[in-house]
Amino acid sequence: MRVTARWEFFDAPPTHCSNCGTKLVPFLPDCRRCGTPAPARTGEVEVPESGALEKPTGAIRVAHLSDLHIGQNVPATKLKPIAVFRIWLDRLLELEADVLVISGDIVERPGDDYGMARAHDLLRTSGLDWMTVPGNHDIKRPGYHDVFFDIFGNYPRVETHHGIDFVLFDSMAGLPLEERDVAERMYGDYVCYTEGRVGASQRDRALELLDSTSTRPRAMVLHHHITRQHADPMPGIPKQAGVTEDIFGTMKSLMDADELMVWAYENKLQTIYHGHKHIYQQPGMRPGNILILNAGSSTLRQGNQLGRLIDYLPDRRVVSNLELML
Amino acid sequence: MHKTPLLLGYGIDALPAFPSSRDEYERWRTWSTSFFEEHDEPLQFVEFDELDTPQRARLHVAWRAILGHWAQGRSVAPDNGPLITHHFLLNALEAPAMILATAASLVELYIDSGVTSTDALFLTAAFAWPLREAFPQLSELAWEYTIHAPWQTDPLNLKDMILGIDATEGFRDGRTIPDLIAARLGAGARASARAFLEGVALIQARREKIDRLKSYREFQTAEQVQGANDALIALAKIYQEEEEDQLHAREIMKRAAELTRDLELVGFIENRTWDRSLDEAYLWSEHVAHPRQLDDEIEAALESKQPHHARRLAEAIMVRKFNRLWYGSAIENLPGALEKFSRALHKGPPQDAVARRAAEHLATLYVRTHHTTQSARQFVASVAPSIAFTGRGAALYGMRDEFEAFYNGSDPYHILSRDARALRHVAHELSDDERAASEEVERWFSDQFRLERPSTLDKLTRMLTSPLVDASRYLGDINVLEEACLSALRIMAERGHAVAGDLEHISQEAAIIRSQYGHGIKLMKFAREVSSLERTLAASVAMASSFLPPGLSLAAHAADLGSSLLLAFRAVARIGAVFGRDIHEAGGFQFVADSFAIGLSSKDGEGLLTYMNKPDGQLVSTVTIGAVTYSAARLVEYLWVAPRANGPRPSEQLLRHTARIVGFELTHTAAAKMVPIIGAILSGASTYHFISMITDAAIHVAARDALLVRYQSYDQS
Repeated sequence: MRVTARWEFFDAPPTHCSNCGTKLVPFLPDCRRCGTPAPARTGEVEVPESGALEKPTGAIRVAHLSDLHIGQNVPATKLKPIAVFRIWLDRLLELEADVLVISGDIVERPGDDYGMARAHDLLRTSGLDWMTVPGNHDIKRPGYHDVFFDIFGNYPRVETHHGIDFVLFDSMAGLPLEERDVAERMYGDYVCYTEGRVGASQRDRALELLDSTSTRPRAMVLHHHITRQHADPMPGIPKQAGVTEDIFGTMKSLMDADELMVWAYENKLQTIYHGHKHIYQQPGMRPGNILILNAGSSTLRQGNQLGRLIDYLPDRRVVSNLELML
Repeated sequence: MHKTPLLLGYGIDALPAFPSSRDEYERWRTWSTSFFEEHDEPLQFVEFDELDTPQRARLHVAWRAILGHWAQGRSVAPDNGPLITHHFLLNALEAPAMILATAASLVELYIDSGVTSTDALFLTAAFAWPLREAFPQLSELAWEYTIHAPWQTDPLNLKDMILGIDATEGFRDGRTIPDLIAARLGAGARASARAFLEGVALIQARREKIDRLKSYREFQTAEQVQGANDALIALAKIYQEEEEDQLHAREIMKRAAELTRDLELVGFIENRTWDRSLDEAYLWSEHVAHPRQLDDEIEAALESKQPHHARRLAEAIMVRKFNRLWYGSAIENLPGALEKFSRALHKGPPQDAVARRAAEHLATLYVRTHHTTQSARQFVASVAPSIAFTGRGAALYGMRDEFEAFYNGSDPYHILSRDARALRHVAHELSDDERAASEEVERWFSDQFRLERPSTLDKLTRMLTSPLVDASRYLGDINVLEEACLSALRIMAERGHAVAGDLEHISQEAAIIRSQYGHGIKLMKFAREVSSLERTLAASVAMASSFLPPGLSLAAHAADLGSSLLLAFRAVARIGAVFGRDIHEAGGFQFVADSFAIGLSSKDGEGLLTYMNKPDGQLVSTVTIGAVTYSAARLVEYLWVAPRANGPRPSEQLLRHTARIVGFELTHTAAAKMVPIIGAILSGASTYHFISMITDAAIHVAARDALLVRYQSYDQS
């Protein structure tokens, strides 16, 4: 296990120069007018050569994994996702993670209650606080009752772990079948549905569940990505130029991403955890100092597997890219 | 204080709602179209700071809609954001004034709000590079922002960005690729610099994912973008400093060494412990003559935190010593090697010191790396009771508990062993015929769930059908046939009496056999006899359907699938009757589902796992596992005969290629004639085989259950 990159994201970065009062450009190291260095600059920081994995004093450590796809057939050269997941849980415990966030796609096949039960059992006995949301591979038919909910509970809901409020959404539930893409309606029941929308009713319900008087940090967990990511080649199809997921109109980002971002800003949700596409991106920012974290797939990569640690400190979140060396 | 343009004639509150559905995307499209018709100078100026975040978001969407209208009429859907701004990056120099002004406003909004999404990246890049002369001040700000911002991106997006900038000849005059890398490294943005360089590597190797880079020979000699070779050298340096161990990093370093002839880098590549594949480890194993060499290599791998590489080293030795590789991949020979080792171990531990040491390492590494494959489990099970390996004083003496936990603790394969032990325990109570049946059942279950090892015929079939395999794997996941199977089974359950026919005479005849010989081999033989007609009939139907004219074939196959299932169900019902199981009673339908699941599931244990863990309500999963395999196999068959009016069929193409290999060209007509014949043979044979798999499973499941009932009654007495 090693840290490959690290960033510091300040909860309230200074907006104006302390010397001349000019508005600071976010992330730039100094005032563009007078050159005074900006204090508490959000951005990448150096990873120390030793002790990079040590938990900072007083930090709440959140680990973020996604898209486990337990039950997927993998080549003999690779470990099965369930085995990789077991290793992750062991190592995260060693790293003193307080909370584990899994942003969906626990299993490969919608309705695989056996795979879900195995994952649930591993999580229950892991010694970690944990939470998850449904991914499009977990749910057979969005908007309907599913075995996933029997095992992992209903959504939306708010869970408080170690002083952080996590709003958990089912990012398929807001998009009824009749509004889905034609291609999805043709094969969704037979493969899985891929489009996502959180929807107003889930947002309203989450708002009811949030303690309006609380000053605890808030985060959102959902499966779908909120910015377009590159299409993967079609799984199982011999690699050919142009044959990718998006030519079938699938695997798009969240349909109501714009609305959700504003909702997150208005309700002070400062961190968003998501998965869906298996491309592991660096953390990014959105208006209102909202941090976006995408973990890609934590079990299916060729070679070392990727995940993330987020250390919540009183004034910042320290994000570390993790590499599980198998 | 910024002065920023706002939409002329439109207050923010008058804009359409945030887009969150296709209808709303259309509303925005209508809005942007009318906007273009009504305005050619759409902007008025307001203060940025007067806008709160929701208002900024609305404005952002409006500007995205305008840019999208210009960018090939893309809708305002969030998914289109990066595509729109990438279009702008590519065409910035030809963009009309109104679009330029809108884009400039949007990039200012992005920077002012601290946005680091991919769409912001492309837009910022457009101003930092191609529009450098047109917007010098904004360009300077965009350049700085590009250097310092924590971009939510990945090498593939960066590849798009680099290609976009290069297409506009933007990399020049202090803003080349090396300049950007130096600036990012200077600002401490090491991960950003690395990601950018990996984007260059993807371009130079024409790849889409960095971990798919297999060899340094994939890199183009000529630079695909200006400064690409320098970028590769810089990336190799970063990898070296970070002690990267993945193979793509090694290949990039090799390319850098080739470019620089840097002997220090060559030495690093040679001495580093890389995360090598089994095939590479196999080549290395040729030179291992003493156990110490293996110990040293494994120790080095473990010190480098690469236990799986260490495992592969030990596996490579096992393949070399027990099942040498003559062609293909060492992976395919591994299960055979481990099985040969286990068989040889019955006669005594290996005399070859290297092989013995490899086995010791491998058993330990399988356990410590949670390598819970079926062949690993069997290997550990064979080593664990061996005195030579785990006796007092032997190398693995201290590992005995871990071996046991590894074998028993994870998956329920041991349940079968427990059953076998139970049956052996009451063997003296069983008739000779039942004892033989007990052994037959144990052997069958054991064979059914060993790791799949293809026979020569299987290999030949795989070679012939390999172009179709990937497609069938993908389409095999489609649950359409699976659902069809499930629906068919449900209907059969409801109308089972009619489907199964009169079972009375079978039950009576079976009762006589049971009274004379018990639940033994003779009963199993009788069960095969009563189900043989269904197998043959199903195969005949499948063959006949292949000769139907194109156009009817697809419909015929749907009917064929139904009839095959119907006949399989009928066969299982008859087998159930032989063993005294009524499929219409409680648990009877579960017997049918188990037979389908175990009979048709892949042999890596999925079917067994489900079978052994079947709480109430598990039926769907149990059936689906089997049906997926069935549907995948049937799909291959379908591809052989499926009609496609336009263009050559996959099966036809395959025939032509095969013919070409053996030296003659097939005409279209000849190929078309051969397809149904081959399809019919394949279809008939595969259907017969699949129905046999189901009926065999039914017979063995029924026999096992019956024998276990005997054990339970004995145990209670």
